[in-house]
Formats: sequence, C-alpha cells, structure tokens
Amino acid sequence: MNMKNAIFTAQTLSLIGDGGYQILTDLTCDLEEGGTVILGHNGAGKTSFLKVLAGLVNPSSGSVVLGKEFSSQDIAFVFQKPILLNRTVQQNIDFIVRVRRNKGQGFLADELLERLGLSQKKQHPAARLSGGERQKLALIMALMLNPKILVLDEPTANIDLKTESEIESLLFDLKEEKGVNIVLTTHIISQAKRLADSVVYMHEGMVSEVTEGSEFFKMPVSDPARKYINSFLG
Amino acid sequence: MIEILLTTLKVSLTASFIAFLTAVPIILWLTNKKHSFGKRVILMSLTMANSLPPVFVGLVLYLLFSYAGFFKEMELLFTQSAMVTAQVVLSFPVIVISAFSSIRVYVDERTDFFKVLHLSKWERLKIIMVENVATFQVAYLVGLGRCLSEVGAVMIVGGNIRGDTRVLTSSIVLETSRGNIDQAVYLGLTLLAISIVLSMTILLFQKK
Ligand SMILES: Nc1ncnc2c1ncn2[C@@H]1O[C@H](COP(=O)(O)OP(=O)(O)OP(=O)(O)O)[C@@H](O)[C@H]1O
Ligand SMILES: [Mg+2]
Repeated sequence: MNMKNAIFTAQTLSLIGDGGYQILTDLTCDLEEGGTVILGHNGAGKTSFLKVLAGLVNPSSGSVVLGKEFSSQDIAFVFQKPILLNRTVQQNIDFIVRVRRNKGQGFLADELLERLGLSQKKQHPAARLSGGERQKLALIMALMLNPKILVLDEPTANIDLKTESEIESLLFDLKEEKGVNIVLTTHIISQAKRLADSVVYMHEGMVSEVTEGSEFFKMPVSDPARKYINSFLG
Repeated sequence: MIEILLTTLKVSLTASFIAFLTAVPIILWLTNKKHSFGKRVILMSLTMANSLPPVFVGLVLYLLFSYAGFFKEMELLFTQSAMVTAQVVLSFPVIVISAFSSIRVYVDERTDFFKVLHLSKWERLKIIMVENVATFQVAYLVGLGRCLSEVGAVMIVGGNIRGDTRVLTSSIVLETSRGNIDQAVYLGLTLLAISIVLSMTILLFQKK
C-alpha cells in the first residue's frame, strides 16, 4: 500500500487553448512526495500540465489541490526557457532573496554558484551567459525561494552532457538529502530513471498511467507509454 | 534670439514632461492587463494619434479655446499654456507608442516568473520600471523631439507673439516668409543642433 502524501491532486482538469484547442482533457491524478517525472511526446501537454499545477495557468475546468502541508509559496518553477532579469548574476540572486516570501536560510547562493561552476561569473550580466549557464542560474534562483516543491520543465534541454549531469546530480541530492519534492519533465530517459520515484505518462492531453519509477521502466502499463519506451530501446 | 530659444525649451520641456508623467501609468497599465477589448481600442486610437498632423491638433484646440465654454473661460488662446497643451496632446501618444511594444515583450516574457515569485503589484511595477529605465528615457526624448520640431500647432494656438509665444520653429517660418533668410538659417541651425544632441542622447541610451 501507498503511504505517501500527495503534493498535488489534479481533479478532472481540462484546459482549452486559443482557437478552442483541447490541451488537457479530464485529467485526474495524484502526484506524490519525492520525485515525479512526467514523460510524453512533444505536444502531449506536459508543460501545460506543470503550469496548471503550479497555478500559473487556470484550468478551464477541474481543480488542483495542493497537499495540506504546502502553500503556494513553497513552489518554485524552472522554466524551459530561463527567465532572468537584465542585470548581473549576483543581482539576479539578490533580487530573489529580497522579494522571497519564505525567508529563512535554506540554501546558500555562494555554495550553489560554486557547485554549478558559476562563482567566477557573479558580476557577469545575466544576458551574456551561455544557454547552459542561464539554465543553471535559473535553477539557483528557484532554489533561493526555499521551495518545498521544485517544478522543472525540461531543465536540461539544449545543454551539454557535463552541465546536464551537474544539474541532474544536484536535483538528486536536493531530493534525497534536502527532502525537496521534485516534479520534472524531460526527454532524457536516463535522467528520468535517476530522478523518478514515480512516473506520470502523458498522451494527447491525458494521463495514461502513473507508475512507480522502477516498475515503469521495466514494464509500462499503458499502450502509449509502452510504445514510447520501446522507441528508446530501438 | 536667446529669448526665443528659452521659450522653446521651456514650453517643450514642460509639455514633454507632463506628457511623460501621464504616459508612464498608461504604459504600465497597457502592458499589464492581458487582452481586453478596451485596451485594444485605446492602443489603436493611440497608434492613430501617433501620426496626427500637428496643424490639425492646433486647429481643434483653437476651436476649443475660442468657442467651447469651459476652455474659453480659461483664456488660454495665444498663451504659452496653450502651446504646452498642444504639445502634450501631440507627444503623449508618441511616448506611449514608442515605449509600449518593447515593454510589453519584457512583461510578457516574465509574467510567469513574477507569478511564481508572488510579487505584490507594487513590487511588480517597480521591477518593470527599473529594468526598463532606458526604454522610458528614450520614449521621453522621442516625445521631446516631437514637441521641439512641430510648428503647426504652436503657431495656431500660440499666435507666434514676439517675446511671448514665439519659438524656434514658428520664428523660422516667420523670418523665411519675411525674406530674412540669414536670420532664418541661423535659427534653423540652432534647431538642428538641438535635434542632433537629442538624437545622439537617444542613441546613447538605446545602446545601453
Ligand atoms: N495557449 C495555447 N493555445 C492553443 N494551443 C496550445 C496552447 N498552449 C499549448 N498548446 C498546444 O497544446 C499542446 C501541448 O502543449 P505543451 O507545451 O503542454 O506540450 P509539451 O508536452 O510540453 O510538449 P514538449 O515536449 O514539446 O515541450 C501542443 O500541441 C500545443 O501546441
Ligand atoms: Mg514542454
């Protein structure tokens, strides 16, 4: 039996986009504590689902309930395309520290900068950073919010293997050592395997299955997920 | 000559400043509210007003100041205040339109980001203003440029009264028509110098 608490409970979510396009259809599922990886083909609705979960987009119908021990201020979001302010790396971080609602000293910016190899770039204008560096800074900024739930939309898309594994192992440590709940989308199966306590598989705006991580990669239950996994096996 | 220059600067700086102060909240409002019908209408009107012929604005204000009860009682016609009013009307849409699109891109890109941070309305406005200072500066200068260079409206509502409502542009018109070409060229070069300084300042801010 499952004793874990839900961090998000999605109830019959539907989301209708511009031109009446049905992005999410009658989506119901629980996301549990730990690491949840959302998989699915391009256009399956992963980004849209994350935004609805995090309260950035209102669903057309249905609702998202946040787990009892969380408030909306415990959620941080790392966007697929990093969003930064037009100022230096350090000033970006300072801004977050200044406006954040969860005060307290959860993470130290200097440690994170050091770990992700950005400590030499503190005085760089954020706009001049490389794609991977921007992605790392966005992650650090999200962590400065002291989140209990960290939502990440393809945090390692378009970046090299070294950066990818740096980010991946930081996420792993956050989850295992700091108890941060992670909800993430990715197209990288090895990353999914490493971070997923459970997998949510999305297909055409619906969730076709929610399965424990280790089980999922052995044998997904639903047809679409099986095809998806098989396509990686070749 | 110095007097004309001072009047020109006084009127146009005052007008562009008033227009700017009015424009800033409108710009922030326009970029903040998402797709509403009223917003589209206002944007469209401002875009059209952006290219209003100054002579036409002058004419409308002339009629208002001459005949419309309330405005008539204020006895504005042929005063510097009338010229300021005309230039405010002319530069306001220019300032809004010039700043709007780039600030909208800035805000659209960061809407989700601001939401995640749970910024208060004031924190949001503050960061938008701080991060777009250069855009606002450029918009102001473009508005000032519009004020300094127009002649149609100031001549009609100001009357080009010597020592009072005569500015660079209107005296160039006058001197040319009188055949005082030397004088006209002299004034023209002064205006040109101001506008070059203005453009260079704009370029400087845009490069930042
Ligand atoms: N506002 C919108 N209006 C209309 N359609 C939209 C809107 N937003 C997203 N869509 C459509 O909904 C579908 C799901 O989009 P979404 O970005 O959630 O997919 P995704 O699973 O994140 O894909 P990817 O793996 O490529 O990132 C896509 O077909 C997209 O075109
Ligand atoms: Mg996506």
